[in-house]
Amino acid sequence: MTPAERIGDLIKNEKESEVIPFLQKLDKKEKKEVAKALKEFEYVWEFNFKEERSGGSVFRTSSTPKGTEAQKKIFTILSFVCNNQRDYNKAWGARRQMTKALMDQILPWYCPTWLEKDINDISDGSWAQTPLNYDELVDLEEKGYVTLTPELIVIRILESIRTQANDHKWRYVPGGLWKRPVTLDKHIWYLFDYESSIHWSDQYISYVDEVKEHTWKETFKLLIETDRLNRKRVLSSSLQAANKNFNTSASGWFIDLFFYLEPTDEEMLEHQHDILALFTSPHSKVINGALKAIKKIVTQKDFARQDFVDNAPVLLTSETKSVVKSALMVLDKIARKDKDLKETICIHACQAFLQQDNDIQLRAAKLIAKYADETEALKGEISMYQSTLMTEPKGHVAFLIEEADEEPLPEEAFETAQLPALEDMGPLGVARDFDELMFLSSQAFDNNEAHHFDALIASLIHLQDEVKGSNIAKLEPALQRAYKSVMGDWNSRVGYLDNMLATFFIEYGKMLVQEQGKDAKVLHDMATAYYNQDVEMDREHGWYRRRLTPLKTWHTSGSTPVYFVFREMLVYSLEKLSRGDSTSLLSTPTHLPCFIDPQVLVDRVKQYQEKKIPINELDLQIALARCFPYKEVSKEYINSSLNAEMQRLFIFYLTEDERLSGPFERQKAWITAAISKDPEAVYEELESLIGSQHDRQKLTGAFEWYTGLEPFMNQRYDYKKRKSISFKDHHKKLVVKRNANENAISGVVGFIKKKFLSKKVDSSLYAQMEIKEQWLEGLSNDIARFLSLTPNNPGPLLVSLMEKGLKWSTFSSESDKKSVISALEYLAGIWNEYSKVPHDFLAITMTCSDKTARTIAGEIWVNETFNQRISHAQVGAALAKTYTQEFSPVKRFADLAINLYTVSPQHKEGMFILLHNCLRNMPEEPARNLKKLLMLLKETTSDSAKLKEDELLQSKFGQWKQTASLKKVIESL
Amino acid sequence: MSDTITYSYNQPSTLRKSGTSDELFLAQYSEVQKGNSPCFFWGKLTDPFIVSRCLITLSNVVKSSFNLSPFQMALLKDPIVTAGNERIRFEGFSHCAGVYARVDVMPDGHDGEFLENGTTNVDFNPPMISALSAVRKNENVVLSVGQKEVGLHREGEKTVERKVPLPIKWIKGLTTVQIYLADATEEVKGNRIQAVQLFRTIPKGKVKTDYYLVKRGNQWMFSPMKSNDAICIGGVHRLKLLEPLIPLIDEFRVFPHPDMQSTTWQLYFGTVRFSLTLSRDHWRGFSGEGAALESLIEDVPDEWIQAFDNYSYANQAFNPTLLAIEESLDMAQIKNITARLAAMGLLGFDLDHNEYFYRRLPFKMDRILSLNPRLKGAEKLVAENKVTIVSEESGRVEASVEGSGVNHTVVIDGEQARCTCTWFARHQGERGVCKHILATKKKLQVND
Repeated sequence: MTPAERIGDLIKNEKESEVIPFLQKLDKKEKKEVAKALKEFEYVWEFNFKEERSGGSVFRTSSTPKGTEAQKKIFTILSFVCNNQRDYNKAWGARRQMTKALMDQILPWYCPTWLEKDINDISDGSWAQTPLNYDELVDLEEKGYVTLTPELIVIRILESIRTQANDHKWRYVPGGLWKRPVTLDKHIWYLFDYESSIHWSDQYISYVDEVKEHTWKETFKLLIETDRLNRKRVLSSSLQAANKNFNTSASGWFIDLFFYLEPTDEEMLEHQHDILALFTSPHSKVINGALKAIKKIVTQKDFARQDFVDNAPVLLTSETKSVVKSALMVLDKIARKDKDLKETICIHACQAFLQQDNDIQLRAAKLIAKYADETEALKGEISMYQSTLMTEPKGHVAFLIEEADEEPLPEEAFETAQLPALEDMGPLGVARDFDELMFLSSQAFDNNEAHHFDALIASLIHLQDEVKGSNIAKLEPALQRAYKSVMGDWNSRVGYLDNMLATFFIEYGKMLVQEQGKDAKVLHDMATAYYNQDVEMDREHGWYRRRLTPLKTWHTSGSTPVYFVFREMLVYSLEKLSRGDSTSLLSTPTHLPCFIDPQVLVDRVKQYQEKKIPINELDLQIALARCFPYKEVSKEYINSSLNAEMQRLFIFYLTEDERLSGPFERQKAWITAAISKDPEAVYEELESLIGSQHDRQKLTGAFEWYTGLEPFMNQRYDYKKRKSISFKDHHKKLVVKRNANENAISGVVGFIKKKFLSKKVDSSLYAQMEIKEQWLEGLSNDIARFLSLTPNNPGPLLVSLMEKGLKWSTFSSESDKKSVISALEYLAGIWNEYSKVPHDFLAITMTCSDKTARTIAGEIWVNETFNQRISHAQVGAALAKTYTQEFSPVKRFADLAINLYTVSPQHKEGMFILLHNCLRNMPEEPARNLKKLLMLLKETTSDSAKLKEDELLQSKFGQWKQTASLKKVIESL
Repeated sequence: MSDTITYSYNQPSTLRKSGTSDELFLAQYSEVQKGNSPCFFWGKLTDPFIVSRCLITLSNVVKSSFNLSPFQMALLKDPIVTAGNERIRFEGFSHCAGVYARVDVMPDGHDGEFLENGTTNVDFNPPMISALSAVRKNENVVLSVGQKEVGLHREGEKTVERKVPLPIKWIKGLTTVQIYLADATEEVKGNRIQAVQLFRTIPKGKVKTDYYLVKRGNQWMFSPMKSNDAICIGGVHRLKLLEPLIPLIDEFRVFPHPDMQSTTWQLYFGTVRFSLTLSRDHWRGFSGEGAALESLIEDVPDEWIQAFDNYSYANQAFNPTLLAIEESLDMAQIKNITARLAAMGLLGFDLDHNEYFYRRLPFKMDRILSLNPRLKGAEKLVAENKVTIVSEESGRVEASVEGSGVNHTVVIDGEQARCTCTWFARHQGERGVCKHILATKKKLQVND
């Protein structure tokens, strides 16, 4: 019988007692044969599955093992002796089955070379693969079969103080720790050197005797009390372990252990250098622990006062308030005791003035006031913190501040207000030659830059004559990118607009194939291949929807009108290309991000008029909406360039001459021009075109909005009734009143107005700047390009974004957040003297639930305060509206504002106006953390008379004063 | 070549307490410098408190990872130290190879002797790092890089041996980051107070978006809003590694790369400097960047490099311009040689002095020259004859390179090289050129 046949006999007939004698006789070659043959019997670890069916569906699945326990045991022994480590571990069960008892039978006559590696195998750094326990492992080591790694020992020793019997209950058995000398001499100290799960190893264990103290902390105490461990070493090791860069919880556990052992003051003094060393820890719990110990010994004669003072800068700049407060307390005690250190302490204490917290600054100021001598060094140090020192603490150290110290910052430190210039904005990168067109088109569908959309269209129109002959084939990579993009090669940066642009490019490719014949063969082949792929997928998969759709019918599921604006422009561009018309679109930006030089626009219109090219009204509207607002064109220039209605339109729009004269044939263009010029201005001549107040709101976005509680039916589980029940609940919501001001229109006049006038408004550019999609998924990458259409009046889009993305007190999805951030980023580049809606949007985002969005909104506020293009009163009033029913917590804005008003005196003044207008419009019921806003008002107030004159504000103050915590600060105002 | 590297130290690094002074002993090991003196430096540190804090921070950098799982983080790599020319420099990379840190102890920062010039790995073990926390101001600390007294330990005896996967990322990172440093210029300078205020504006948690370093009034801050003249920092949370040092600095300076592909934060503490260089994004390591690629396709004579290696000593300044004049080489060639030497692990870069310095990485050269995938891809394209030069006139070369399913067009016009492939479209050459451009350049060389 060959070895292979023999193992078949052993396993099948379960001849357990014959396995070891058989293996002992094998040589190396025969073992290899066994290993090979053993593969056939891996089935012993598998299961037979049985499905029980009722009425055709499975209601229960059961399984039974294919091998018997004896067969598995035989397999395990054979595998252990004959396999290499990899094959041995292949059958996971074999490893678990290899008990210590089995090993004891084998190891005296055979020890695999890989055993040590296998035993020490730890996956994920915390899970030991071996089934052996601590005692068994140490036994193997003592017998010389393996050397255990410290990492394995810490995992197993942790489990060694408890055991689980057959009743599944835990029993505390610390005795194993002193069974072998090596455990307490060596192994237990590894717990202090190697990161382990000691911090949670005692959790969720319930002992049979219900004693909760069977923990590792208690175990150390027990070992010390019974003189098995040296107390001094445990104390010192626990302090050092707290600072070995273990994770937060493990580090915290060791500091807890130190205090659990109740060190005496003498012991803490003895270990003071270990304690002081904890200040380099990244974990605040450890630092707090060290400070707790130091507070107890700071007054002792031998306390290393100088060393603590040397470490003070790190503590005083900590972001954890309790650390700073404790450090100041300790410094106070040291200063009282050690006169030589007084000045150094006062100088260090100044660092606390960088904390934006009145209480902390006050403590530091009082400490300095108590111990300071008026030395030049200290005065010099304090002068460096002038800009961050708050009013109240400043009062305490006023004697150290010299008037001359309050030198204003040099003027160049602040930007000065000046009108932005087009020249600073950089031109739109329209391709100048075919090379540039080729490289632009290969990157245009990935949304690398928002302006690529416009740049590609403009470049194709401009360079259409160059796309011929051998050049056509060079567009192959770009066309492949377009096809891939449409067919589903999605990445997180692209939006629906990229898909639309790719669809446009595919149609352009088809046009080239038709017009250029064999020069466009590669494009034709590619189009055919992708078309076939699309058709094939549609035929084979029921879930598939054809992706190569014509541009004219391209749409999104929510039919957001803004997309139709883009689509119409692309269709128009394609028509221009097919006509061979290379005159530029009117709406192509000349400068980044999306502005058109007004003079260039006049020139473009002139060209259209001269060449008698019909003007597309949507193209004209977008051009007007993108016209750069800070550059005038002279009336003479317009008169000499344009004629007829265009002349009148551009004189009205681009010059200070606001006289309007009809007839108004291009009504939508007139509406767009009027709204772009000033959304709040009313031009009598155009009112009949605009229609109702509601129609005007559609164009400007200036709908009323409020925040409050909205009722809804919620569900909760009733444990008594054992079922879910519905109940009336409320959630905080921001509501835009879109239909509230709709005038009741009745009768024939009403019918005509509704039928014709509203339609005119609805189809004009601004009325289409609305998001109809219920969710913003997929739109977030398009928001910047939406805004690029109407930089002069972003109101309609922003109000749409408010009601979709900002309607809840916290962002409900990543895409809402991303959309809002994207809008803010774009807004920062196009902000000009806007009307109410952008201010409302800015205020809401300054207090929204995402810190990045708040910070960007804050940045816009800072920049536009420099540029003097923001109304602080409007922002303040809108902010107050968000505090109704605490739609947004006060803390969000308060934390942001601390970093905003310190930028310059201009900003301090702006913040004062903002806060004043916010507070006077706030609800009478004091909001939570209102004190923070009042403190900010106090810090920014330069003219308290303004507050006193404001009756509305004073009446609010009167109400709020009834709240004890607000009384003091209101009185100080 | 083995895919693991084994650090073998005679004994672990320790901070030994002895009488009135402590000795910070750093065990060293280099796989290329066997048989040399076992001690590189032995002497007193002028400011041991600062050096110890800097080394703790360096160890935190080495331990950190901003894109890997904790399991991979457990495999520690040791920093390297270069001693020579009166300077001691400790260098290390985060696991993800996206953060490079260096501690420079300047000539006045120590009082000791350089027994051997060179670069070596040093053992950074947790107990030694933990002991560094206890170093106090005004304490006497002697630093010893390597064992001064050979007799203490028997030859060949190894008490510390750590096997880790070959740190390809480290080596590639160390060879690439120098090229970014050489292009960086100082843009921002500030004092301790400004630094504390600035670091307070680092957002909490892992940051996915770019942040910008901007000045408001007299205060520097990080802002998520893009502005044209601001320094862009991806993965700004990585700067938190520097936080423990900030309250101790005299001043800080920031050196951004002109294309914002990296930023270097240099902290100054009298005679000690700490610099931290961040890659463009937290998920991008310097190892994956293609800055060195173009220089690698240029052939530099091996003898020349060997001669340079033989006659240079650790921390010696390397002046390419001087070399060009002395050896009558043209500047373009020198630029390539410099980049190639850096790519071979023979040069580091000192931002303050704006010069390269010689230091030979303590790894075998064939490890260092382990080939770059993009370079391999380019060589394959040339070998398979997939590159066709379409036209070559007055400095403009146009080539057609076979890609997957399409032919890409490469245009090289003077310094500018562009391609129609997706890699180039996305990165516009900022992350090194694509394999199609490399292949075209290689093809042009072959034709020459």
